[in-house]
Amino acid sequence: MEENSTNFVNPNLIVLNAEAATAEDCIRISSKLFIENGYVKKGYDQMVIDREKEFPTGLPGKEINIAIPHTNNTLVNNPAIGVVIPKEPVVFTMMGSNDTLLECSVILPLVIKDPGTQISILKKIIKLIQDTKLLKSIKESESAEGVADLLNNFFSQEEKGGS
Amino acid sequence: MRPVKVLSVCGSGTVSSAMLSSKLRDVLEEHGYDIECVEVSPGGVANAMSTSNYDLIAYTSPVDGNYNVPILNATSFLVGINEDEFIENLLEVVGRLKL
Repeated sequence: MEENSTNFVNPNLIVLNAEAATAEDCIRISSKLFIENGYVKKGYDQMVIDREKEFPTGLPGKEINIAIPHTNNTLVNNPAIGVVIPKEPVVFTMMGSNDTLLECSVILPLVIKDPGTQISILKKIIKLIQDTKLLKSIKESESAEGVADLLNNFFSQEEKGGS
Repeated sequence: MRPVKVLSVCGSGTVSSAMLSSKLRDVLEEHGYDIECVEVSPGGVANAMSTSNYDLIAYTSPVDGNYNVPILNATSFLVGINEDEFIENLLEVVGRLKL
C-alpha cells in the first residue's frame, strides 16, 4: 500500500472501547487483527510484547498520552497502523526510560516495513502526538470508520510551509 | 562546511530513530547546518562509534558507555515537550564543533 495513500488506515484494524487492562492486552488485540488481515505473520504479537518490555513506546502528550508499540520487520508482510482505544487508560512505560509510567488512552500500534519509505507517516505521527484536539476526536469517536477518516485526512494533508 | 554527523539511537534502530533523525534534520537545516544521520539500536552504538566519527549521539533508548561525544536524551524533543530546551542544548553542542 502506498504510504501517502488516503486510505492507509484500515478501519478493520481499529478497536474502540477495547477491553484492555494492560499494555500487553492492547498489543495482543491489535496484533490479532494484523495477523487476521494478513499484515504480519504469526508470532508478531509476542515479538512486540517482548520488545515493549525492553524498549517501551509510551509517549507523553500535552493532555493525552499515546503509545506506539512496534517491532522490526522480520514478520511483516505489509505496513499498517492500528488503533486501540482502551475503555480506561492503560499504563505504558515512557520511551527512553525504565520507570516513568504514562496512562495512555490512544494506542497506535505501528507495523513498519521500511522506515525509510514510511518516514512521512512517521513524521505525521510525531505531529499527531502534539495535536490534542485530534487525539480527543479520535478518543471520542464512535465508529472505527470515523477514526480511520480522521487519521487518513490527517495523514494525507500536505506539509505546510517549511516546517 | 561539512555536515554534522549524528548517531540516532532507538530500541529497534528503525522507527523512533528515523522519526528523530527527520526532526533533527528539520531543526538543524533551519539553523543553516547540513546533517548526516545514521540510525542504530543501543546494541549497535559501540560498533558505529568505532567505525565512524560522529559528532553527537541522540537517543530515545538509553545509551551506555562513554564515547567522548555529547549524548543527548531526545525523547521529549521527539514528542514536542520542552523542545526549546533541547534545541538550545543541541545548537550549543553543534556550535562548538569544527565544521
